[in-house]
Amino acid sequence: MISRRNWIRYSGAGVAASFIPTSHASQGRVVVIGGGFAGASVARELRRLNNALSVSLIEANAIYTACPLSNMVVGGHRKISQQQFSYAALSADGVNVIHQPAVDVDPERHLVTLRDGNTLNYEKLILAPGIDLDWQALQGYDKTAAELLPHAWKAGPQTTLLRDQLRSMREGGLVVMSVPKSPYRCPPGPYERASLIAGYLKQNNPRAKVLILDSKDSFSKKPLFLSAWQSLYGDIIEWQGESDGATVTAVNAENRTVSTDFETVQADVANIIPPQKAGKIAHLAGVTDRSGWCPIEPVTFSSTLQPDVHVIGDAAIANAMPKSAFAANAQAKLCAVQVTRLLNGESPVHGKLINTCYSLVAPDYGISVAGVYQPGEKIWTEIDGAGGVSPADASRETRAVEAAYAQRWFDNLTTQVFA
Amino acid sequence: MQATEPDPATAVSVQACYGCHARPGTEANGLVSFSARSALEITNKLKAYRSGELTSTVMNRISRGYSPAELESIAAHMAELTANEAPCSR
Ligand SMILES: Cc1cc2nc3c(=O)[nH]c(=O)nc-3n(C[C@H](O)[C@H](O)[C@H](O)COP(=O)(O)OP(=O)(O)OC[C@H]3O[C@@H](n4cnc5c(N)ncnc54)[C@H](O)[C@@H]3O)c2cc1C
Repeated sequence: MISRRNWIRYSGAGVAASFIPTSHASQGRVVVIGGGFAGASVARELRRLNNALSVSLIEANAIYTACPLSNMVVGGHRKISQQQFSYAALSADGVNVIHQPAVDVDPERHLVTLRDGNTLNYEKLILAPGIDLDWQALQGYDKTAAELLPHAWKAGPQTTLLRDQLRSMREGGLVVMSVPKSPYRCPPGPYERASLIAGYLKQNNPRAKVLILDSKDSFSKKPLFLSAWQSLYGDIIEWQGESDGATVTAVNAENRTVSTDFETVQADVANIIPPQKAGKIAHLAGVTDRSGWCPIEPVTFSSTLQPDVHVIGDAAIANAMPKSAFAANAQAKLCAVQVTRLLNGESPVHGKLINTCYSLVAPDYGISVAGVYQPGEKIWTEIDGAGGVSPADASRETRAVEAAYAQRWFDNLTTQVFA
Repeated sequence: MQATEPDPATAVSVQACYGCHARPGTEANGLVSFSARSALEITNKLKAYRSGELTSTVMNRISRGYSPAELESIAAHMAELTANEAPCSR
């Protein structure tokens, strides 16, 4: 494995003393594909660490629509425009932002091809394409079906489609949610969404129900969600897990039916969150394994499959670290340091990373999960004794404080990344 | 950065803190900004979170991921970045 060899070579050449010394900074050429929380963060951070670097960011869309807090859009508490950010600040920082989809990567020739046919050469490539929905995984669920049964797992028109379907649902209707097996983007996200949908229904359509058909038996912050659902929403939300036979195997978009091995449920609104994999460009670059995700060397986030390619964010296999915007940003900051050092011929740094994910069970009721992680030889592990979820017996004041923190976290992060 | 260079691992750890806390020099819309806090003050707080003497929402859970010595270096570096508000920071 070439990347392994490189790593050893670079470690051997280690200049221990200082953190990225700008004095003898190299004029490396870095290309980043994907301008989400991972890619936009790493591009900006690279320029901050060494403004002699040439950094190009290839992002398909001119406007980024952020997923965190998008469930508040579904529940009617936020506007989709509050989720949207431009890349102007990145350009101002000297990042060469190119709004084109990357359509191919040739790792041998260190070449990226854009849709318009132009190519870019790189010394280091950072792939941050996020997820693709797996359109083969659920019988009957393809892109056309998603126009009728939204996934809303990439924020944007899908988010407002789901919101609007809820608003126009008949009185006493049934919302069915299908939740995939792990790993997928944002482990607690489906349960936050069920909560905020239930809150909307309680206010506007009190006889309506939410049925969650889950492909697993346990989920992030489960006891906290279950008890909060009970106290806030009574019997509006019903959750069924894998052992209850709730794994969804097929859908029928025209009839709005959702099927497990045991039953077919008639939905009024169906939110199908399908299984996921790394964004397609990662597959084209040859950095995915059979799982559909990208294996990495933990310390540097460099691909174990191709030289001079790093993978960060949802697309990467970061083991104990969840696929979250918080983690994507933390990984990006670390990766920027490592790429800068490698280009300078310095050895990589061993650093710990953090993740904190808030979930809003209601706009004034937040719960959190946190973790501290360290890179081992092969995997990122969670540090024992640290991390964990909000206490089960916390007061309503504490829940309100965590809800406020969720919003301030979002504002802080999006300011750092996009403002 | 005009300050003495911290060890690189500390610098990496501190960047992770800015996932929630406003980075020195940015708009203060982070959870708690560190403006005008000394290294000693930050160290004491972090250690009190770690021991459970002080309670908070996530800080008890996060501080337990670091040794007291790591918390000291993190605090020192944070205080330094805040004091410097260097031209390269945002
Ligand atoms: C409902 C919901 C709620 C969530 N809530 C939270 C939360 O509260 N906290 C939290 O931390 N996380 C949350 N998340 C998770 C978070 O959104 C993701 O983990 C995060 O967006 C991952 O960042 P990323 O940069 O890896 O991917 P993305 O943000 O998806 O960015 C990938 C970017 O790459 C671009 N791209 C892909 N392929 C190409 C190509 N070939 N060429 C050019 N551009 C390309 C895409 O256009 C996209 O802009 C939530 C997710 C959902 C769905």
